[in-house]
Amino acid sequence: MPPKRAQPPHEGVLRSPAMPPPARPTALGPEPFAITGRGLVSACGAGVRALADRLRAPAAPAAARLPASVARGLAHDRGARIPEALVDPEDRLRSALEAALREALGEAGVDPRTRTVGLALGTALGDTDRADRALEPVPPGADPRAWLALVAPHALTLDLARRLGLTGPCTTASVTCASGSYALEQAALDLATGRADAMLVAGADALGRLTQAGFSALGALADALDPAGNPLDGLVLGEAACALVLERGMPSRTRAVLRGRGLAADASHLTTPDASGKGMARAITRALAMADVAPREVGLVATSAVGSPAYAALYQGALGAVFGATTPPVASWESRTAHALAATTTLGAVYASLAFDGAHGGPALASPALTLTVGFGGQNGALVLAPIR
Amino acid sequence: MTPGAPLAITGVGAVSPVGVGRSALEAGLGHEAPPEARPRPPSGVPQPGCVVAFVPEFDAESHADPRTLRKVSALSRLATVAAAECLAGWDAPPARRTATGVFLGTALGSSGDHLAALELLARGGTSAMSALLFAESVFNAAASHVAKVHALRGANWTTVGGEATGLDAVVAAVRQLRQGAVDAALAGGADHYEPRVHASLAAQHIAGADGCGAIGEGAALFLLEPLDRARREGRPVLARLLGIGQARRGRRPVGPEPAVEAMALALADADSDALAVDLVVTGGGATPAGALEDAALGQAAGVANGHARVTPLERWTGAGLAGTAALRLAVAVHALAVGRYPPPSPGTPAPPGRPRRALVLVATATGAACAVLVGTED
Repeated sequence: MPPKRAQPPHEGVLRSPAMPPPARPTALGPEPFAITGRGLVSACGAGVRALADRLRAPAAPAAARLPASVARGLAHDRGARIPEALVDPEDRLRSALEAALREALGEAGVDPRTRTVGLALGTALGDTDRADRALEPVPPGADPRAWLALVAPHALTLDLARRLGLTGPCTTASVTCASGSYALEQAALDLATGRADAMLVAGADALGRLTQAGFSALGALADALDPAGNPLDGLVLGEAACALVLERGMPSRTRAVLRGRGLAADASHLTTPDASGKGMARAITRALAMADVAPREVGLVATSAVGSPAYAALYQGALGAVFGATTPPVASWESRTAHALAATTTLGAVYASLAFDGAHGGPALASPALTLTVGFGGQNGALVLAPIR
Repeated sequence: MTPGAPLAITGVGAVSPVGVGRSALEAGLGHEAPPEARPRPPSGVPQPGCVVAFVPEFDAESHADPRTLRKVSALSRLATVAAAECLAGWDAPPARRTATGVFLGTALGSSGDHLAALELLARGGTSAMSALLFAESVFNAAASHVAKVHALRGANWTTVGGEATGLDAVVAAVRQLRQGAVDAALAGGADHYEPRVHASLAAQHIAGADGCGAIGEGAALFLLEPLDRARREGRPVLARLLGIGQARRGRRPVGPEPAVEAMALALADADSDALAVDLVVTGGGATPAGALEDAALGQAAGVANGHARVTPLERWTGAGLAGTAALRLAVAVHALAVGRYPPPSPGTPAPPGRPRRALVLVATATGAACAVLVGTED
């Protein structure tokens, strides 16, 4: 239960009797948080169930040929976009996010009208699907704030908060594909300090021309795919909006328990990771320590950026350093969604929650799961999630 | 670091419209800005009455290692120069650097590079796309650069938002330090003005027609570390970081309540009597956000009610972007350290002597607010 609000010594600061005295921030410690709601819109379709169905079905290529508006002239023309029927074509990212956030709130049974709910959004590049509109002058009569959202994604966060009637803290983290890890960390801090009763955590990116061209220019995209469509020598990008509801305590609707979090940077290169995996090893170690989980207790490691040789080396180094010769089974959801940029962290949490229910195409996982997120620029994020006991 | 241990600010780096470095802040504030440093209308922006407080042209290579400035974005250049000053003389061993995080707030990021990348695609097609330009265009490029230059391998956190993010990043750093997630933190805000987003900034009531104030660009970064360790190692304690507070109200119209709440939270966090605050650093009443700050001070009993100096910075640094919020904290730290700060608002007291407790307040027209309380070491 959240601690009772104490009377602050400074009470005289507030003149207005209508304003409640602020609670003294609680101590920050390794508190577990409940994931009570999940929402997802991805290449698999709408809803977490769509991902679960795809995970249980025989493997099929997640990526398809991208529309000409995205891939015209590009050597890499495959990606996993959200089906067009599921999004507003003029507002793909916002519409996908809104759907995912509403699904998560619905599953959690959390009503922003009666509880203080905030939103922590992580996005690497924002809405690059519409990004070229940022080059155009704002048409007369149009809302210029919509243009600001194209280059400053916090405007998108505030727009979503307004649409959902959120009254809690609203923040936006942009740390490439690890953005969701920082959004989740912010949400945990906001809950721990009593700023919100529940926090929505979301990660999302649109797969637009700038994103595809940029990653292609970086040499990060796959040239070769296996017969199942999985990348062999680089990434295949996807598009998704994935949301969680995080709460304190263990409400009855808890789907999974977030027990540990770890963040670390390689600080070695602007784009390529430190292939030794030392940074990721630090993130994993911190997450396990926070969760009070020993390496031998981990039952599953879920990874992202599948297909990239650089990240494969990073994971090998990190997992070897942490687990030694007995690394747990390693799996990923990306064969179904491709690499969905900032949605990765929350997708990993959803994947783990499905694993706890046996809804990921394998037997139910009774042990903690470790989900790993990487972002270019040497970003490393690790989460330890556990099933509800 | 022991979770919850008292924190100190032991380094400050600043790049502002009044110049580069803390010494420029000291020399520039308290005087009328020279003509070349005054806010001026940005070229190419059709809105009358809008002015921007630009960082003057400067030779970045005389302030930071030239190798760290090659081919970086304008934002990364500001952050790199500020970080170089902030961390000058910080002789931390590798293990401590590995456990040091970078926390950067920015409103616009490298939007100029982002738009340049879009233009390349539009004009030249995909073959013209530059890997370097794309990499520099992401919001966290500046934080990544700073981390790489100084081998800072803790969390590398970029928060994007309005002006308050310049202090929100400091708050995130404090919280990470308190829970022992990092051993030290380089935190602050940075923004480089981009004329192509001016109309959108105006729509957010950050800038607008006559009287709505100057958008300001710049950067300020702070080194935060445990107070006890700083003393033990003989590091300069420029200020103690006493308390933090954040608030947001989603209701419209936006009133001063978030700012009042943020101040109260910061005081509660510091276990501090409001009457102990003898300097308040705000933006200034010329902007809608500045008006909210003034109204909040009017509502908050104890703080600034005839006792504290209130010094608005907008005339010198502009306002509206994350860098200007962080510059407010730099001014507060400087005031505690050397006793100098810009002239207080008319009608507020100007008692002699060095302030001992300074409250930095940022409110936004979108309903967020952040407050940081700092104090002298003794």
